[in-house]
Amino acid sequence: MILDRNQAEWLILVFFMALVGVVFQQIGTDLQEQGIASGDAFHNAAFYPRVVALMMIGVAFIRAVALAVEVRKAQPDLPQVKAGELFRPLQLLLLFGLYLSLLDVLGYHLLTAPFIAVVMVIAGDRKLLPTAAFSLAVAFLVAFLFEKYLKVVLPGGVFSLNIPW
Amino acid sequence: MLFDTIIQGFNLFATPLVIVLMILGVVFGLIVGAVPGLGPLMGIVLILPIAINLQPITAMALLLGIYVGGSCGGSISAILLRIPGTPLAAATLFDGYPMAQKGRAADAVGLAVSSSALGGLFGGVILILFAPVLAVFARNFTPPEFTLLAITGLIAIAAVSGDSFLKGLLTGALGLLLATIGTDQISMGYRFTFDSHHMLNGFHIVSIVVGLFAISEMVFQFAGKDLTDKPDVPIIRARFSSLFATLKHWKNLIRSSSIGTFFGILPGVAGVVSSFVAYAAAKSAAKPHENYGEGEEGGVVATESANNATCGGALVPSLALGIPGDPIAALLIATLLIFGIHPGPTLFANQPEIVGGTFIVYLMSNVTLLVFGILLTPVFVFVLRVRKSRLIPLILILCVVGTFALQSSVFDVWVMLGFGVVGILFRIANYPLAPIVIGTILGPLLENNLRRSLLLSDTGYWIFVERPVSMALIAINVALVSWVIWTMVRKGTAART
Repeated sequence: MILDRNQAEWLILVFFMALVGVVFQQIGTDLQEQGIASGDAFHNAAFYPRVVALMMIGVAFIRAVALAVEVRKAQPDLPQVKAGELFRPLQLLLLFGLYLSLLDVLGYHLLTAPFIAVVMVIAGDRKLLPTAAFSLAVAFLVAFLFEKYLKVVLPGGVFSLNIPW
Repeated sequence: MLFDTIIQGFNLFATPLVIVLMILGVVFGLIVGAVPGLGPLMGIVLILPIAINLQPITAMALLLGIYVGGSCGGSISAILLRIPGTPLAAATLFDGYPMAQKGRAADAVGLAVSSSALGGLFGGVILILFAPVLAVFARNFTPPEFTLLAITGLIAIAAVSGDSFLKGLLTGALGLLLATIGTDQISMGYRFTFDSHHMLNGFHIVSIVVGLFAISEMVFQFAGKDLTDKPDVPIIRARFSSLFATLKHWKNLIRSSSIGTFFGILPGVAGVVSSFVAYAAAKSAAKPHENYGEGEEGGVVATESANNATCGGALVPSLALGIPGDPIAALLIATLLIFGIHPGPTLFANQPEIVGGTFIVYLMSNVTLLVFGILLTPVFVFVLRVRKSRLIPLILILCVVGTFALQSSVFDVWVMLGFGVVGILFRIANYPLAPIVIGTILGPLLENNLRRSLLLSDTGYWIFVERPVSMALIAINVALVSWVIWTMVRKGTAART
């Protein structure tokens, strides 16, 4: 499976159209209900988003036509991304999503060092001790900097794990 | 007036914390600039959550230090590895790498640092002289002028970003829409908040920028094949005598710095363009015995002085008009806005100490660059040996913790990840990311002034052609769009023949 630039662009145009759909759906419902979607340009909170969304539709339409013409011309030298090449970045994104999902549950201190270590292993680091040492050092140094000096309380999770530096 | 501004700014600058953080900013900037794939924007993105917890001038010292250091740092890897650390240093390859091949790597790095610092100082002088004049001129601007100024900024960014004007316009429009999320400043109603209290103030600009630039870049780097490779780079030491070697090319230095500053002032035309133009100008003015492309000192002087002079130029419209010329300037404006400081003509009238402080910080960052850039060259070379397998998780954790620290909110971190995914898709399709940030910053300025203009107007949209400055801005916009269309038609014709 191959994703080329044109396919990615169609996806983006769909994304823009979905966005425009959300804008008009919100104007027709939520903004109407609040009574802020009518009146003159100054008092109408829907005026400006509507203008931007309409501009987006116009530009996206022209771009879609241009893209359709480009596709018909068939461009053999178009940059392509093979599905296999996406595997590792996809692993990183999924791992990152999992890390964020668990951040409120297990907390920063329990999760971060294992997350760093797993990323390093996926990246190709195979030496256990340096990987573990680096992961722990980064997790604790970053926590020290933010908790001690910037007074940020990092997520403690259900165990309320926070280090009193 | 200008003298008073600078004196007031100096009083804010002359504190140990500001000076130390400025030095740290320059050194950090040199490090992130030297590492391929990072650069000053990434450096600022990573440090922004820390910066917004400081006082305004202290934060500006840290961020401007990174801007200045990062704009120079890319030359180190360009010279030693033949890989520019940042796109800004791409033209430095032409002569920097051949110099290193001839055993003059230390000289090349010394020249790059000295030229960057001197070019940056030149840009700083222009900033100090020109920004207040522009601010005074803009003091009489009314909502129609500001509306058109914001539109000009967006069109200019779209016109020069990437291979498609339409793509730039679309991403700029996305930025404008993102800026509408949250509480409407005029009606005080909630827009696109989906009844979530997290979205009452919209998405935090830092979450958006970190996601778009840092997360997507890290994911792209993670797709690389050489993540555990450790480049074998010899440790070198630059010398202060490089400063005198640079000054021998004084004509080249002044010409290139002028080019850099000029391009910096124009919205959207970043240091990359200025360094290539400066290189071409230096090459065309070369003496017969100078062999550009084969390790000529003048090539390094031209590109490095130009790209650092661009920084000073970029600050002119950012401070005087509140219109950012590039994503870094947009982030600097965003930082000031977070502090409740609104860049633009009123800033010069109401808070001259902030303006003066920014001037001094920018100038002193360039002096710091000269001193620490040369003293710490071995450190920056050593950083090139760090494996990406370690760098990527480190940056990801800094992104997470930094974004969380903004408002102690995991929601912000999810927003960051969401924009990371958007950034990845946009990069694959070659959509420029910079207009999103510029659009997000310009959005409130554009919307408020557009709505105010129409409130003031008795003639509807004709208000925009009734004043000479707004008329001139319309002419500029028409010229820009015509130029883009003409270029597209010419490209299409060339492709067919």
